[in-house]
Amino acid sequence: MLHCLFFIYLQIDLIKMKSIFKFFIFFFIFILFFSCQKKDEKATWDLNIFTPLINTNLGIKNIITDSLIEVDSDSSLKLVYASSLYEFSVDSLVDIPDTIAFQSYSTPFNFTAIPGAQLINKTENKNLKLPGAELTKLIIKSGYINFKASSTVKEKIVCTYQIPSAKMNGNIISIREKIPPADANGPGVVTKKVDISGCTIILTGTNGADANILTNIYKIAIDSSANNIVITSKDNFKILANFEDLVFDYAKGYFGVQQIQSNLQSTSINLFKDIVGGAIQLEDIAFNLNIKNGFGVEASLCIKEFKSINSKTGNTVSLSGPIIGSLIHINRAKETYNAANPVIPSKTSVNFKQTNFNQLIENFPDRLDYSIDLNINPLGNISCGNDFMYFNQGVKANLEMEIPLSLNASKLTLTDTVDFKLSKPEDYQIEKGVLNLIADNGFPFAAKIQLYLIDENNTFIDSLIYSPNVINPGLTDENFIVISKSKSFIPIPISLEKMNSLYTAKKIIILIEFNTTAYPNYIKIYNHYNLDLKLTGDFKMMIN
Amino acid sequence: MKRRLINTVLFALLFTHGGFLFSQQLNPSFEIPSYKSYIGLNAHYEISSSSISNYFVQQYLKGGYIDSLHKQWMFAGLKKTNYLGADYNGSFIYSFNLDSTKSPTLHFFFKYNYYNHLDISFTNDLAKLYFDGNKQFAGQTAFFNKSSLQILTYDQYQLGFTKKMNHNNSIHTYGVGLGFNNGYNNTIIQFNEASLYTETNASYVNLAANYEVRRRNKDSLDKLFFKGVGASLNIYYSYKSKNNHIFNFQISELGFIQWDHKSQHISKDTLIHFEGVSIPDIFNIENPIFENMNTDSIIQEYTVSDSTQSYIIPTPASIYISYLHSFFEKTKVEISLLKKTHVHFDPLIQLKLQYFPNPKHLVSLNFSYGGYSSLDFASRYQIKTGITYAHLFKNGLLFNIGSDFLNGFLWRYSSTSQGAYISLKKYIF
Repeated sequence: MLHCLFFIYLQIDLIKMKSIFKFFIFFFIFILFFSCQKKDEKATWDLNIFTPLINTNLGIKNIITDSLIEVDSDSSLKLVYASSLYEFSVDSLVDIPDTIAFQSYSTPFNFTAIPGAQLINKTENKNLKLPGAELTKLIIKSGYINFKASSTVKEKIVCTYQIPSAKMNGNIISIREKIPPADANGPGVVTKKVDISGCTIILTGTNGADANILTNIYKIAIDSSANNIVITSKDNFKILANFEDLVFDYAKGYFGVQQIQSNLQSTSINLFKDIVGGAIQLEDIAFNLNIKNGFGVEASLCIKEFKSINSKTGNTVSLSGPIIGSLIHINRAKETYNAANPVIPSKTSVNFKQTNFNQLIENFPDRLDYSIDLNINPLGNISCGNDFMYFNQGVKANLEMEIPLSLNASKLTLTDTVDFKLSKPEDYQIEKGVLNLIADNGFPFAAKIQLYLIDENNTFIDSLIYSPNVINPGLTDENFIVISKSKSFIPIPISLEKMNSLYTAKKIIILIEFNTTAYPNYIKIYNHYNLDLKLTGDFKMMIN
Repeated sequence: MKRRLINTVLFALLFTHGGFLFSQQLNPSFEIPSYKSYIGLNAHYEISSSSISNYFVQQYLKGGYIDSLHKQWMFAGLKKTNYLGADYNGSFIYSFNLDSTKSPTLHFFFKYNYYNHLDISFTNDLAKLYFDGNKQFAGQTAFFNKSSLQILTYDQYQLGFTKKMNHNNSIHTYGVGLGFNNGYNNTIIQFNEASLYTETNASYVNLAANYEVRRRNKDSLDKLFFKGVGASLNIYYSYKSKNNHIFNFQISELGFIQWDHKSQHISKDTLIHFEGVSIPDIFNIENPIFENMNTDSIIQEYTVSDSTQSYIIPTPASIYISYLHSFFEKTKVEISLLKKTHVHFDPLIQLKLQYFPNPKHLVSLNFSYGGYSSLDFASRYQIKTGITYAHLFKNGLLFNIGSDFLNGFLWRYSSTSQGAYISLKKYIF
C-alpha cells in the first residue's frame, strides 16, 4: 500500500502547493490506507510470453564461402577451390655476382707526376662467371652500383669508372669522383652509390658475340688543382664496384640447366575448417594442377610427394598414382615484343584422375604437404641463347579443384562459434520457459543440432538442447531431389539455471551433425535448397 | 526512470481517470446560520471500475505478487469493454462577504483546486494480455479497439460569488466561479483500432495499431507551472421552497486547457510484422543479437515524437442535479444525478438517507449506481453503499468524513469502486 501512497504522493509533490494543504491530502490518504500498509514494493505478476526471437535462413552459401560456390547448368552446385601451390620467381632463375669490378694499381718505379697527368686508363672485359648460364642482356628494374676508390698519393686524384655497355637514358654509366689526398690516417677514400634503375646492360663484350661479359673502363689522373707529386712504387690505387639490391626487369641469354629442388612445403586449406567429425563420400572430384610458365625456358616438373593432413584427427592420406615421380614437361613462354604485354605464358594442366585424390579430400584436410622439383632447360640450350624472363613472371602451379556437391554424408559434423550477449533485463525476470527451434528444412539431409554456451575464457558453461534434437530432411522424390520442406520443432527447455547460463555466456558453439537421406546414395545439392530457422520463446516471466 | 514510466503508463492504461470533487458531498445539509465567512479544506479520492475488483486494484497498487488465481478472478469479471477511473483531488476555499449586515446575502470566494484525473477504457483482451501475456492468444487475435488512456493533472485558482435571494418565502441561491487552470501533466492515448495476432507457433506476431498520442509530460528541465493554461466556468443554482424542498443544479469545471508548444502529438497507423530478429548469416553474427531489443527503444520508437505542437483539451466537466426534502424531523432524503463529461463516467444516481440524531450530528446512508462502474443493474456488485458522518461543532467548525463505497472496503473481491472524502470547514458568524 505504501506503493500507492508513494505513487500518489509523488504526483502531489510535483506541484508547489502550500505544504499544509499537501499534508492534509497526504494525511487523509495515509489514514485511509494505513490498515493495509505493507513494505514499499511493486506489484509483480507472471506473464506467459509467446514470441518470435530470431529468424534466419541458412543456405549452402552460409556454410561454404560464397565465392567458392558455382552453379551448374542444372542448378546443382559445385565447390570450386583454387589455391597457389608452387611459385618460382625470376630472382631464383638469374643470379648475378655482386662484385662487378675490382682493380688495384701500383707503379714499379718512382716518377714525378704533374697536375692533370693521366696515370691509368684501362678497359676490362669482366666475365661474370655465371655457372651454366650465358646471359647477353639485362634490364634493371631497380638496384644500385656501390662505387669505392682509394689512393695513397698525398694529392687529389681523379678516378673515373665507366660501363660502356650499360646505358641509362641513352648515356653510359660513368662515375667520376675525386679521391682526397692520403694523410697520416691512411689513404684517401671516396664512395658513391648510384641508382641504376632502368639501366640496360649488354653482356656480349666488346665484340658483341660473347656472353656474361661486362666491359669496365677505369681511369686515374692527378687532379688539375694538385701540385707536382712523386709517385713511388709504394703508392697504390684501388677501385671497387658492386651491385646492390638488383631486381631484373628483363634478362636474356641462356639460363643454363638448373635443378631446383624443394623441401617439403605446406599450403593451408580452409575448406573444411568447420568440420569436426563424420564422413562424406563425394561422387566426383575434378582436380587439376595448372602450371603457368612465364619464363622463356623449357622446364619440367616432378611431384615427389603430396599429402592431405587433417590436424584435428591426425589422419594423413598420401597421393598415389602414376603422377607421383613422373616428369611433367612445361613449354617455354612466348615473347611478344609488345611492351604492354610482353609474355604469353605457356600453360600446362595436369589432372589427377588416376589418383586417389577423392580420399585426400574426404580426409577433410586443413593442410596439404608436397614436395616438387623443377628442372630448367632439361634439354640444354635448345633456344640458342634466346631464353628470356620478365619481371613478375615465373613458374606458378595452382591447385584447382571442382567438387560437384553430389555426396553422401554420415554424421558429418560442423561446428562454429558465434558471439553472444544477452543482458539481464531490469523490468522483468524470466523464471522458466521453452525456446522452440522451428526448422523448415529444404535440404535433403537430416541434422542434429546442439548448442553449447561458453564464457569469455572459452570455458564450457552449459548445453542447451536435449533429445530429440533432429531436424528432419526435406521430402525428396525418387531422384533424391527435395520436393518440399519438412518442418521440425525442437523444444529447448530453459530453467532458471539455464537462463542464468545464457546471461553469463559470451559465445555459443553451434554443433550440427548432418546425415543425407538414402545413404549411401549420392545426393546433389541445388542452388535453391535452404533451411529456415526460427527461434521462438515461450517464457513465463515475472514483471517487476 | 524506465520502470517508473512503464508502471505509470501501464497502471494508467488499465486503471485510472480524473474526476470531480463534488462539493455537495462535503457540504452536509446542516442548517447553517448566516455567516460572514468560512475557510475550508477538502480532499477526495475515488477509484472505480466497471470490471476490476478493489482487491485487485489494491494488489496492484500496494505491491506484492499477484497470483494466477486473482488474475483469473479478475478476468472473469471483465466485459468486452471496460472502464476504470481514478480521481484524487483536493481544494482549499475561503469565502467572505463585503457586507456589514448581520445576514449577508452576497459572498465572494477564492478557491484553490488540485485535480488528478485518470481515465482508462480497455478491452478484456488488453487486460488479459497485460496481466497474462500473449500465449493465451496463440493462433488468435487480441483486440484493443477503442482502448484509451487519459491522465490529467492540473490545479485551478477560482474566484466567484454566491448570491442568496428571498422571494415569497422561498430562497434562490446562485453562484458563478471563474477558474484559471494551470496544467502540469497530460497524456492521452487513443487506440482507434488495434490488434495483436500471435501465430500458433509464435513464428510471428502482427501488431496493427491506429492510434494517437498527445502528451505534455512532466519534465525536470521545465518549470513546473504553465505547461498548459486554460479557464473553467462553474455555475451553481439552488432553490429552497417554503416547504423545504430543495433543488440544486450545478455545472462545474466547464473549461479547457491549452498545452504549450512543447507538447507532443503522434498519430500513427502502423502494422508491425515481427518474425524475430533477422540474422542474415548465423555463422557470422557481428553484433550482439538483442542489443537494441529493449523496452526503452520500443517505447521510444512508437510513443515519442520529435515534433511538438500545442493542443487543447476540454476539462472533465460535471453536471449535478439534486432534490432534497425533509420528510421527518430528523430525516432528510436527497436524490441526485451526476454526469461527468469527457471521461467514461456514466450518469451516477445517488440516494442519501440523512439522519440527524441532534442538530449537530449527521449520519447519512448513501446508495449509488453508475459512474465509472456503469449502470449495469444486472451485475451483482454495482449497487454501491456509502456512509457519511458529519459533526458541526459549537465554534462553527464542521467536520465531515465519508465514503460512497463502503461495500468497496468490506467486499473487496466483488466490489469495483472505492473512495472516500473528508472536509474541514470553519464558519465565522
